[in-house]
Amino acid sequence: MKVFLLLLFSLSAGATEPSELTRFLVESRAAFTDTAAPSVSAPVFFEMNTAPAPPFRPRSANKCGHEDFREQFGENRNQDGVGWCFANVAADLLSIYSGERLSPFGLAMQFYQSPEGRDQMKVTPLYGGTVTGALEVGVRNGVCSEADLGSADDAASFLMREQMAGGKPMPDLERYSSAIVADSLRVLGDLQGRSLEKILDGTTHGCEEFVEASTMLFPKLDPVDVARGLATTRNYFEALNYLVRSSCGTRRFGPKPGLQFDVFFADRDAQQKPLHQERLLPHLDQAISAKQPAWVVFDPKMLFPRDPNAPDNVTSLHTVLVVGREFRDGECKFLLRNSMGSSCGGYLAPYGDPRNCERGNIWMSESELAASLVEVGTKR
Amino acid sequence: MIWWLLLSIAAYGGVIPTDLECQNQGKIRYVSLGKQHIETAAYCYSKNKSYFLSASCRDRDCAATKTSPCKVSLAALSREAGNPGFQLCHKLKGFAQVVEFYDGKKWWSMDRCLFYDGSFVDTGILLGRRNECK
Repeated sequence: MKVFLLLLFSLSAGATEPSELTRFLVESRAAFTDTAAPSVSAPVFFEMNTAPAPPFRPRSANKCGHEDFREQFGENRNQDGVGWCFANVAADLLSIYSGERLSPFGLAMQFYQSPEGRDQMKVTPLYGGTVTGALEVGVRNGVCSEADLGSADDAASFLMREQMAGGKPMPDLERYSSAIVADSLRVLGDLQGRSLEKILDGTTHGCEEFVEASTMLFPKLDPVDVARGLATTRNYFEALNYLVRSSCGTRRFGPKPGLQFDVFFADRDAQQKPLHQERLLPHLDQAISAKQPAWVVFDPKMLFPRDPNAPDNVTSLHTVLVVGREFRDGECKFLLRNSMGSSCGGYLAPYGDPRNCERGNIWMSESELAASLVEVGTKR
Repeated sequence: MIWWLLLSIAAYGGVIPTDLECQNQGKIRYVSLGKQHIETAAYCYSKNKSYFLSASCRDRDCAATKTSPCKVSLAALSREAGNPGFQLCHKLKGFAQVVEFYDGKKWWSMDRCLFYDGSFVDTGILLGRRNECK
């Protein structure tokens, strides 16, 4: 089920029946009730509202009031080469409700330690997740701040420059892939469970490679302490949990008690294709009118080119926050806060145009968004 | 020193806006190994701060613009998760990096794809060039 929800640029072949979703929601609520873990806030919980909304009709200017609350989120995030759009969205939401800019990296790591995240890892390691799942763990446990656990650390660049300055050959950039966070996680994953001596003697991964990965992911921790954490935990998830927690100690942030969200899903046909997607739009519209940010999960085919040879039943999904609305160029448009940095050059026409892209925020017509929606999440 | 210039749209196949502001002693900062680093570089950016490239790439005389993104298939990009501009950068043997640049008044978040000769373009420019491939 989780596969379906949001996997940026990964296959979405999972079956999502409403009954399954309902069960998931009930299970989630039960988990909250049973959990007595340290909490910085009352647990959030989600309801699926399946009440049908009226069919979509394009609106006139007077029914498309201007709203723009992007400023409260600060500069756009950049998810780098990992499929953590879900963690960026959840971190943004929890940031505004906690008053602290929170770390998507820390939140993603927490998500992958949850039961849902572990399931996700079996399908697409570190490359996807759900906003709801990330919100659950974030609210329950609190999240490290971006200041304590940075999401844009760039150790490889530093190392490359050091090598260039010293006249040494260029390092293998292939190794320092754009998914550098994932690479570093793999290095630590390979070492988890080995003895401290084995980790530090460099037989599995070179000592230098280990220190790079450790420093990249957990710059505030001594690599020896990271090695100790890897050696003494029972599994990788436990190790990551330990390391993330150690990075910010007790400085974890969450919203005030009582934060609740509603999540709305498109119905699916027998082949799992979304139906009546436009009926999700009123829920989004209502949130924006109430000056509340909302998240959407959608097929971003209008933003990025698709592999022409990909099967028709393969759907790429992406999630973003919606932070505004305005009547522009004869249409009602929503303002999407993307998590791919502040550049505008990479979007397909017309979305790279300055009229439609403002430092990574995209104005998208309601009709185009409605046709690609599969989920809308709003604050209750 | 700041100066304004017009850049031919044809030079970049329409990916870059026509008006760029450039700095030859600009500042770029990024976090690496838990520490913030600031470097001095010559670069240009669009008035709306949505495009960013090294000054050496203005006239297309740099690795970042000489490298053809068309050789990377959409299938190869689609197989990867995350920001496709970062993936494209990686496949072109560049190094994608989250940075901030200074315009003389404030810092602006951005990213760049850094190539072996020190030249760079933001990953959106790179991806935009890929979008124009036949």
